[in-house]
Amino acid sequence: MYEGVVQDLIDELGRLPGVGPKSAQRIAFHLLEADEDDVRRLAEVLLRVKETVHFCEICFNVAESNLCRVCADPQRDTTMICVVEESKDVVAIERTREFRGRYHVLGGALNPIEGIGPGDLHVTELMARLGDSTLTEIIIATNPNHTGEATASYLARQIGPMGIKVSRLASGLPVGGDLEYADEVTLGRAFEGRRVFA
Amino acid sequence: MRLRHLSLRDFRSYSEAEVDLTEGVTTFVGLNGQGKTNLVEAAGYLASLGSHRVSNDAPLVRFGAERAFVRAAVVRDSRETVLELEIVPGRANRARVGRSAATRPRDILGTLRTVLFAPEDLALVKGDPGERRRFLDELLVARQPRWAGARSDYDKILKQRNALLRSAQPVLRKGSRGGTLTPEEAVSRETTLDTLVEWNTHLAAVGASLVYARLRLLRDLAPHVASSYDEVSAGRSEARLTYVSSLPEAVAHRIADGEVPEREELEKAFHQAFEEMRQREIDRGVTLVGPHRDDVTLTLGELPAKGYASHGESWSFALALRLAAFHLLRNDLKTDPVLVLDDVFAELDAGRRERLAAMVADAEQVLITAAVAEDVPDALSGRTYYVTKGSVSAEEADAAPLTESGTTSGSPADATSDDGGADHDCRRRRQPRGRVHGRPDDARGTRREFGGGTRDVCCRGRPPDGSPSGVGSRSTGCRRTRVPSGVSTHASKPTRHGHTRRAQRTRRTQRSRPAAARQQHEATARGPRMECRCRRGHRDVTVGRSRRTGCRGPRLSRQLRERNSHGTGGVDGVGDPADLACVDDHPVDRAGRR
Ligand SMILES: [Zn+2]
Repeated sequence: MYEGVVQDLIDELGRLPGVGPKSAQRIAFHLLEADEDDVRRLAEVLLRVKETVHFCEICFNVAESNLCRVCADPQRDTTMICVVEESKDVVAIERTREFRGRYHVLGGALNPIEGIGPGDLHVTELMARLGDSTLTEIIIATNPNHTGEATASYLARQIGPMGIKVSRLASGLPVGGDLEYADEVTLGRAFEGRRVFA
Repeated sequence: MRLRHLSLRDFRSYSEAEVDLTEGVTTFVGLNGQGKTNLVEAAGYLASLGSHRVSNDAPLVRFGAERAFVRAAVVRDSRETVLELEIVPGRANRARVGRSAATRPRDILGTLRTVLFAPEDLALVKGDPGERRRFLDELLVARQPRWAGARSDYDKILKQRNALLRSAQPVLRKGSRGGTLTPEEAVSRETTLDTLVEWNTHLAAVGASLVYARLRLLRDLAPHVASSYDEVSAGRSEARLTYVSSLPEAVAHRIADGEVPEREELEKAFHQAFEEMRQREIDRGVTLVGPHRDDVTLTLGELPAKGYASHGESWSFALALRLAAFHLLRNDLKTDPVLVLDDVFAELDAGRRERLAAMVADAEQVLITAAVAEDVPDALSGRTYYVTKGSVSAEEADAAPLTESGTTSGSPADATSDDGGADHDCRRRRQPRGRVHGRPDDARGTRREFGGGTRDVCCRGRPPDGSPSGVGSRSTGCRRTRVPSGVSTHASKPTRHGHTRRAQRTRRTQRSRPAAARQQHEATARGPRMECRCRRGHRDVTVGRSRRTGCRGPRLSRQLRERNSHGTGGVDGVGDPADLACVDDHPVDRAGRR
């Protein structure tokens, strides 16, 4: 244990994701030895990010005002909502320019090991958005791993009875992959999501 | 297929090793602790991404090094592929096939396939269900590498489901016992139960695939096991395998009768089980059904092998399982997997040795390790390498380690550097100063002829002529030569004295002991101090504490400890060999023999 404010700093840093007690200590001492200007710049950007960057009131994407860029755009298709785990997934999908609808950011995926249940995700808010009569399809684009799959099937089960089409982003064989080495689950999914050629 | 070249860097006791290999038989001869098993362990690791000796990677990296490298050139149908693997404990390993970019280690599975026989195999028959599950799953992956993915998916989903059951426990319990819930608890209970369905669905899907795959594997394997058993035991015994499923009885019965239900049916059975077991699963906080709870019963005629089979029969069964795996892969792949016989001949009686040798002699490539060349039957003659202190050479070393003078010049770091890989010969270290057993130029050392074959001097204080000469009378007369002289050593050769359980436990917790921790312990150790008898330079080891300090040498016998504590004994403990004992408290007889 260190004295007063040094220990406070270590404790605060230790609460950040991916920072253990040892790293927290290392970062703390790095900051203690750093130039005052550098530390001040870091502190200011931390505050500014908190003051200026918000989460979109509708979709929980990062936004610089009440609404994110997508939700604020009247040109976007309101019949489709694409559900993703994180804001960075919005950026990834936007880069493809394939999707013209709107998004919903859950803020994670179901993960009992980390204690994340439906109550910790923006599920209720998504349900509230389903009342929109122009909406016809929900595309679930959670990650194709076990937590993402569990989240996807949970959402599908919740939304299903409401009469809105629910689709899952196709996942399957990676480009450049080899059938022999594709695992059972991947191969199974690839079969389920097969396309008709002719 | 065969290995053309194997190279190691910072793997186990090797800082560097390059070994050329040819078709046919190659034998690595070396006393225990010299590193011969490490060579075949490395080959096995490339084939299965796991060691047959330890469950975590840390002991595989040479003491003081950060990472280990294993590279192998594999030839199949005269096409050569180079495999590379970088083992970094605590981090993701990296792999490469041919000249491609680094990939997930999983992607190298399938390029090299091995079937490995080891003394540990006895646990397949006598050990816990986990041993047999691992055998099945490893064979599944060796046959079709894609099962590695399903296997790891299953484990991940299982962990999530267990975590959910545990985290939901207090809430769920209260509700199901009829207690009244507060509104928040009611909501929490509802959402928890809601997501349990999701994990059920995914676990059932992957679990059903795994069980289905295991059942098909077993169906294909069973005839090979029966025929291999009869061949290796030279008799007719009806060796059978029965899958014991944790699924509901109706399905489990059909499975036990040898039926393979459809995958969809199994999946339904999973859901039924989750429904039926709900209360128990919630109470216990673990998943009670699935491939992780299944077993395979091995039977000989009408009796289960576990508990009823003799030592010899158990060995026959263990060998039959490995031989069956070999035949199955040979049929599937249209090429032979590389056959590895790690120190198994020393475990077998003369008959089984010869028959096993005859059965594997035609394999494309056979790699054998043995303490002495005489252990290997003549049917398996081929190239011989000599392994001494982490170096491999085609020439036999002139200075046999038996002449070791017993000085204390070795540094402590030296002592730990081959930890884990080491199975030290405590016979050597127990010899009092100036007493040399065996001819120095004869690696056979104290081996004696008796009982109709070469037998090793007993480690338990029974001279060879005093032990029953009978073959396989392991329970009354110990026949082992290479007494591991410490805890970790025992773990690496678990079956020698049937210490399987302890060995497994130790294997799980085993890790190389950092020198710092040892020094710290030595510094804080209480009691009378003396020089450690293991001659590895552990000075000031507390009497009777050598096991704790990490010294794997023999510790003092109880008598001497008492004498010491009464202040009457010689502090250096040298003098009467009867005062010395290895860590298992096997006394040494007056002549210095065990
Ligand atoms: Zn938005």
